[in-house]
Amino acid sequence: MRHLYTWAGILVIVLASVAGDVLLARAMKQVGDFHQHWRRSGIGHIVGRVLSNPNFFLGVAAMTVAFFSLLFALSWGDVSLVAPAAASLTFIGNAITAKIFLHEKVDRRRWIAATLVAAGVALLAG
Amino acid sequence: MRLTNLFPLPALPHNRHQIGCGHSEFDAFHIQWGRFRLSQRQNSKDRAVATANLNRTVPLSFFQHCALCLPPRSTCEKAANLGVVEFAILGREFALTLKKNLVLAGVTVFAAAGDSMLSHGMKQVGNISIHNLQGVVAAVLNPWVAGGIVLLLAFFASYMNALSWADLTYVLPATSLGYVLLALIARFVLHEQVSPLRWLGIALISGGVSFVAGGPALTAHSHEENILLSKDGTAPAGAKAQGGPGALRGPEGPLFHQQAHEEAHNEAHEEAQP
Repeated sequence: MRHLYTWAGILVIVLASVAGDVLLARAMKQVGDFHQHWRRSGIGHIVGRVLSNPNFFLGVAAMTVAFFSLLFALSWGDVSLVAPAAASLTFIGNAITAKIFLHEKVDRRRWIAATLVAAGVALLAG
Repeated sequence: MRLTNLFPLPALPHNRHQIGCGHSEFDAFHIQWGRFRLSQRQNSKDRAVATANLNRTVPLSFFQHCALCLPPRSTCEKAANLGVVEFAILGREFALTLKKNLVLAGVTVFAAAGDSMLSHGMKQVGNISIHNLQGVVAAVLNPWVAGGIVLLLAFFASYMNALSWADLTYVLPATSLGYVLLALIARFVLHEQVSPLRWLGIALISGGVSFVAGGPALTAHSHEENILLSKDGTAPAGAKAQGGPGALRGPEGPLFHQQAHEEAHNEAHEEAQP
């Protein structure tokens, strides 16, 4: 029962944080390179641009859901299981969604990485 | 902030390839750093002053022998300014690389430390349920949980910074060291059991994600630094940084006068003060 709770928690974390990551990544690409904004116009400009981006708030909402699921899941399972499992499955989900929605070039190198991470997650779960 | 004070440059191996000027990369960078500070200013008068300083105090041969940052020798003599400008771009790029690596390190450390503090705090608080919202409030008031939340906020800031200049599929794996850190913290600080199989899993994850770290950071957009350099008719920054064909050729020998050097450095720093 405890394991079921833990894995249900992990599933919610993964779904929410994949959504959050993709939305945030899109928002930050729309905002542009922080370092260049910083040089040209200072930190206020960055904050303004970030706070006027709707994708940012959607991403933060999804991340908040992920965060509270993490709080619950951490009270049910070990940190060395919950955190890596959730983060790694998020990573695989991200590889797929980033290719589809963010048009990133997920090449062989990155797919191999995703596979190795999946194997690592399986071992962690066992 | 003086990054050069915090990080002794000779200890960074890629500095040699990226700058590769003269017999002392450390000093070469100081000049670059000065130029970098100056080129940050948008005021064109400041920029002109800085260029003049460098031209006066740094012998032209310095630019000729500086294989990496240099236009061909013939154009160099005619257009020392071009050398200065490119020089500045390389310096800025190096400083940027340093900053970006710091951002990635921040993502890793903050995430791992924050998760661990949260875990420790939640174990103290005990199980919380959806029906008992007071339990959630009590959890947030626990110092470990609160500290964990602060660290995760710091993680969030660095994470957004990283996402603004790199792919999502690059940032996540580049922080893989966090899993190793997490396991170490779980084992030695929280005293949780970490079995050999889990260690193997953590090793696989780290190995897998290190694949990604070797590739380009950004695939969805072209890189502005590269465009800047290409405009000057030289190779893109990426090829230089990896020690490509253009890396470290050019005549050997004592290239740079220590005196002129320090002078330039001092002047550059003085100019850099706001």
